[in-house]
Amino acid sequence: MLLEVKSLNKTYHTGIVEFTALKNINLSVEKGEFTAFAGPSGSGKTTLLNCIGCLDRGESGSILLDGVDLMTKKTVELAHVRKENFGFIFQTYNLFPVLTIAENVEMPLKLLQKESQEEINEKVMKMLSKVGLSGYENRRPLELSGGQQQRVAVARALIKKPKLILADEPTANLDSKTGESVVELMKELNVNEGVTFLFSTHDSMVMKRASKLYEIHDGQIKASRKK
Amino acid sequence: MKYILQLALKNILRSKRRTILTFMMLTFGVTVYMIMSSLYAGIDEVSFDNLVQFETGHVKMRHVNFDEDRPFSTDNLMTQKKEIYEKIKKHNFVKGVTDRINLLAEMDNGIDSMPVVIVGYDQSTDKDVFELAKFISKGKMEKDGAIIGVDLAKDMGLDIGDIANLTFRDVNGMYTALDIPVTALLYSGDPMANKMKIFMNIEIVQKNMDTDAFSEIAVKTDNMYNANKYAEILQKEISEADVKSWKTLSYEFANVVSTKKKAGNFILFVILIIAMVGIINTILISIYEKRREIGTLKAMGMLDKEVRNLFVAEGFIIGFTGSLFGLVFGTIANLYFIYHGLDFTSMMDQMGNMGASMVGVMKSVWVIKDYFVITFLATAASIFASYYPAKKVMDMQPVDCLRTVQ
Ligand SMILES: Nc1ncnc2c1ncn2[C@@H]1O[C@H](COP(=O)(O)OP(=O)(O)O)[C@@H](O)[C@H]1O
Ligand SMILES: [Mg+2]
Repeated sequence: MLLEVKSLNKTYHTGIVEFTALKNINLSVEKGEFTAFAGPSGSGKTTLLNCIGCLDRGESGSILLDGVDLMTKKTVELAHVRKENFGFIFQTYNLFPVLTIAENVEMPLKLLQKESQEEINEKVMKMLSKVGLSGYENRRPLELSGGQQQRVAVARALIKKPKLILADEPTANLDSKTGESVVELMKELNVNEGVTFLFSTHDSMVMKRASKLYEIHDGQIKASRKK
Repeated sequence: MKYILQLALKNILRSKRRTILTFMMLTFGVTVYMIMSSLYAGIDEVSFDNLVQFETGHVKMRHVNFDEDRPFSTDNLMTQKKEIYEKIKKHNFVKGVTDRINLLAEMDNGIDSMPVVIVGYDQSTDKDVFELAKFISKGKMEKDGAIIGVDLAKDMGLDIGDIANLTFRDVNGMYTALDIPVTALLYSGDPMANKMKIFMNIEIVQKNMDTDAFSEIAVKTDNMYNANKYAEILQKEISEADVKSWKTLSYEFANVVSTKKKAGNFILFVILIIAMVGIINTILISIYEKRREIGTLKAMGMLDKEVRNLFVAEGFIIGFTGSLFGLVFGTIANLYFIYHGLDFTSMMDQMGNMGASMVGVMKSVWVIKDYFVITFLATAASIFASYYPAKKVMDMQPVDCLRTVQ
């Protein structure tokens, strides 16, 4: 089992107001799966993904990655966990506007400091061709369409071959056709390269593509289904 | 760390608007700082030069019981000229010696009368110590003529060729009248002198005073900056007089100089603050704008301390190069002020007198120290300015950075 979440709870404290965003979440993801969290806005999808991705801390329960509990780790350790295991795709792409497409894509490898610039360049070119953006390496993000930018984000998330890619509503800012093509790309990479995806959506078209689906309502998993 | 520096550099080079804005602020601050600082240094130097050349010499000797409250009293007159001169002149560092007599008189033009200070100077030796000629704005020094302060001349309606009528008491307390032709006008940086002083041959004064006494002996040495030491040496041997260096004496004129200096320092301080607030502001804005980017960096596993270093590096690069730019501009501007100078004569006429011992064209001087001080201050200020906001970002949870609304 790649990822296991056990009785995860998360409460937001804003001033004196408390809001329980996640209640007793249990789920698991196996290597090579294409898992989706579905649910209406405000149901807790983002909160759940953030907790799994170590961007936020759960309150109680455990999150096991390859059997190692992430909930007990220190902040610095969590940064290393993210660096080595996770790739992120955001709803708003979150590319760096001052950097070129190639510089954006290479960043995770640069942070890992494991390869030479030549090896990195080669990987970046390959990756860009996989997402259909060969020839765009010296452009800036803002010169690209939303769909293209999200493809760059997919390339960036994938470049270091992470164990798990976390994508929070990756298509929500795109029109349905472009959104579909981005999910198509993700699915392709999942099938051909065995990349494990975990993403959230409230788009039924996107849900259909998932190999495993968790339906979330009011911070609780109401149903799960596997193809 | 190399990658962090590369990222910082790209951020700076590619966010042109922000970088240019910060640069402009820094460059402006540094340039103005340099100009002001060099100008003040120039004013200081000239003020002291003028003081020395016009009023004090390098070392000045007065009566042992010189009464500061009644500086023109005949009780302050000294007599042992020969003995003192001998003791002075045996020193190698002495390059010139002269004596002057000062006394209070009344000037009368038939309508008004005004109190004036008569300065009797030795026409053969005065130039060995002082540079009176430098302060003559019109006319010539002549054996039997008087040099009169420009403002005094104006007030009394006198010009070159006119006769000045003076009355004063001699050493015996008898009233004496002296009529002397005006042959030159004096324009010194000292407003008091311009308003009150009239210079003439010491022999004329002494004859009319019925004495051969004098008020002070002034000495020029081989190096004005050793004056304190020389004054000490001379004082040890000369018990007949009170020996003071121009530095000590300048405190008598120092109120003027030091207020000017305080104002100058204050302006410099304000400039620094403005530049620093500018830097803090742009870095704060940049960090605010970049919250989401920072969140993304953290999500990708960049360590908190690396994120902080990224911003501190930006601040450092901007501060360091910005101050270098400023130094270049400041140097160029200073070339003008140092070699061409500012003409204060016309400015002072318009502003009235500034009270400083300044005259004519004012030239800035290089302040080498500034190059180091500015580079250090600007860089330190930029690092300081970016550290606090960067630290704040560093302590934020990744999710809090990412949540920022667009
Ligand atoms: N920082 C926060 N502080 C307080 N409440 C929050 C915070 N973030 C999210 N919430 C609340 O938690 C619930 C789940 O939010 P979220 O995980 O963003 O849902 P989804 O992504 O499914 O739209 C919402 O009701 C939201 O208002
Ligand atoms: Mg959400």
